Amino acid sequence: MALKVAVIGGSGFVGRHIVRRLIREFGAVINIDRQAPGEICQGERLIDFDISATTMDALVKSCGELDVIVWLAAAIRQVTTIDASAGEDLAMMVEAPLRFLAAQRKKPQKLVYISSVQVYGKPVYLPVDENHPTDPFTVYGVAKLCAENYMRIACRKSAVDFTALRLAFVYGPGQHAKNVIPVFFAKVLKSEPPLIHADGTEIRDDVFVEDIAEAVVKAIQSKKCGIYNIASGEPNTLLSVAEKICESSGASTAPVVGSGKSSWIDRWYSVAKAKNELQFEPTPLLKGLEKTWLTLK
Amino acid sequence: MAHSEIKRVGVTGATGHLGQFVMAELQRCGYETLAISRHWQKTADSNSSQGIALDLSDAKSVEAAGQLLEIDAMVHLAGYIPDDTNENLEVDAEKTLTQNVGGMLHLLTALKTSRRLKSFVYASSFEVYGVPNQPLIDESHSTEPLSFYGASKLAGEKYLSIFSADGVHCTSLRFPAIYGPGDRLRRAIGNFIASVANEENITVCGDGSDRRDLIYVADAARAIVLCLDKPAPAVLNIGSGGFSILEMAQAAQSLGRDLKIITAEQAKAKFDYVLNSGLAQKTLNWSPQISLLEGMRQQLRWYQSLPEHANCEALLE
Repeated sequence: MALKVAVIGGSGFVGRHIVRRLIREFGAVINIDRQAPGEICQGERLIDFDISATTMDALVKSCGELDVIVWLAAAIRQVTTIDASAGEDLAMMVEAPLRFLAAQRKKPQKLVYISSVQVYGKPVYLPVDENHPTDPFTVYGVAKLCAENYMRIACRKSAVDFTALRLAFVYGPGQHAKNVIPVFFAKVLKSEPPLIHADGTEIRDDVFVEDIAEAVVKAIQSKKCGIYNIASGEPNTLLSVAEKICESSGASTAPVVGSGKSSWIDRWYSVAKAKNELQFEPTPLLKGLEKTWLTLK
Repeated sequence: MAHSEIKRVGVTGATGHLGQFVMAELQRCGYETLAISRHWQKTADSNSSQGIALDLSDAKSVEAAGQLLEIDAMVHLAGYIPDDTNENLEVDAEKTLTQNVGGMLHLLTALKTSRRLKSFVYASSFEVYGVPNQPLIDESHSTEPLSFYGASKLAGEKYLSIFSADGVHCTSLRFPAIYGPGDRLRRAIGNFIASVANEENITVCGDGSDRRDLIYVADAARAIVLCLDKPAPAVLNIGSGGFSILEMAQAAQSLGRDLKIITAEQAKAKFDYVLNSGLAQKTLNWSPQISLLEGMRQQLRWYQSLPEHANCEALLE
């Protein structure tokens, strides 16, 4: 069924993948973003709108009646102290989606909120599942948790189905952030070895960006609603990530490893719930890295 | 009696229901106080070192309030409490966000530069928990608030937890309904008190077997002040152990003359909501001192002293 879907924040790295996948599924999609993407897809309608605006009536009018809202807009950061931007996080991640939903005269069937595993904070057990306590140590994580609660309550009140996807670290084609994976790929591209400062034993969970887009489609189409981890479900040490990057690129080089423990907090996330309820199937890390490499070389 | 390091304590919401009792308790324990309230008004015998008028939802004025840097401890009580009769309105979403979550954020941002602050006590709520999945809710119970108010209080706790990483001792106290003199909310107790004052029969919905936790306002205030100089855990339930609705009605009945308890149909499904406050009793050496009957008697006395007690809602701020 062709659903009318709006993505808020569809011009960024993850947003582009979601927009393309939604067009493939539903033929068209509305992308609400202040930033124009590098290339507008066929079937994509870009609406340039500042979501911090106090009234969203013009936006809602421009969109028309929506079946599904996918809220992605956020400024990802890793700050662990209260800072001046904490208020902006709230405005973009909580106030704006609340206002957008409230302004819909005919409510959508479903709202998919893109959240983050930052809501969990320091794991008390591994892998972290959806029942794990939520004690974020970043202000971004607090804002995401606050958003999940507010949107869940607001959706229930308006009889809108609500699903939140808690994303692990995302990697894949089109990523320009200074995260580990693009930094390692940049090294390999220059025929240099990936550098690991500590002993490389820290455990992490990197999820392929196309899996996020797939999860969004599945979340939209599923009768199930709720909160789901969207991760690789595959614990990798930093060293094994670096090795797989070398392997995926066919590089003859091997990672250079330092010594000592890093201050990194080991973490990985269970995707059993998403597998069971949404039929989510994460891409193995090596395969995702190979696909990423094909877009880089 | 006061802790050697903590002399001066700021209290937001100082003019509110709980705030007035906290101010009295602090003064009784020998602390200096700084009242912080939107409604603070200078009187002839007050000076600026005793109180400031401040709207916590206004980031700029909170940042500019230099007096906040002259306190050793903060008791943060201020917040928007939605009217129970209008559950989860859009206006509640906005007001709880700007006043409760935003207010906490502005306060913490301003206090970040303080060199004096040692302790921060935050009045949170049992509404952070949502639907109980155990008969006695302890602090490790999952948090899936059902109300915007609960969601806002939870977000405040989480910001406070991040703030505490900077070395300030922070405690969030999860209170059930707080009753006693000054309680203007029309929940079970408030309705029963009004019935007694108006010499009307007392209406109980259903069989009255639902158990609810609640706490007398002075007992709540004592718990708050105890947290200032005790190494309390980051999150504590502060409840009385709960009473059935029927017990509350019977207490009310005994305060009136020849009142009957009438049964009305129960609109909502039966549910119990009782906190396990054992951790607070252990770590703070605190327990509720005021019985339900005595607490309700105090509330009735206050209610009857209001100029127009028959129309309490008109006095809502």
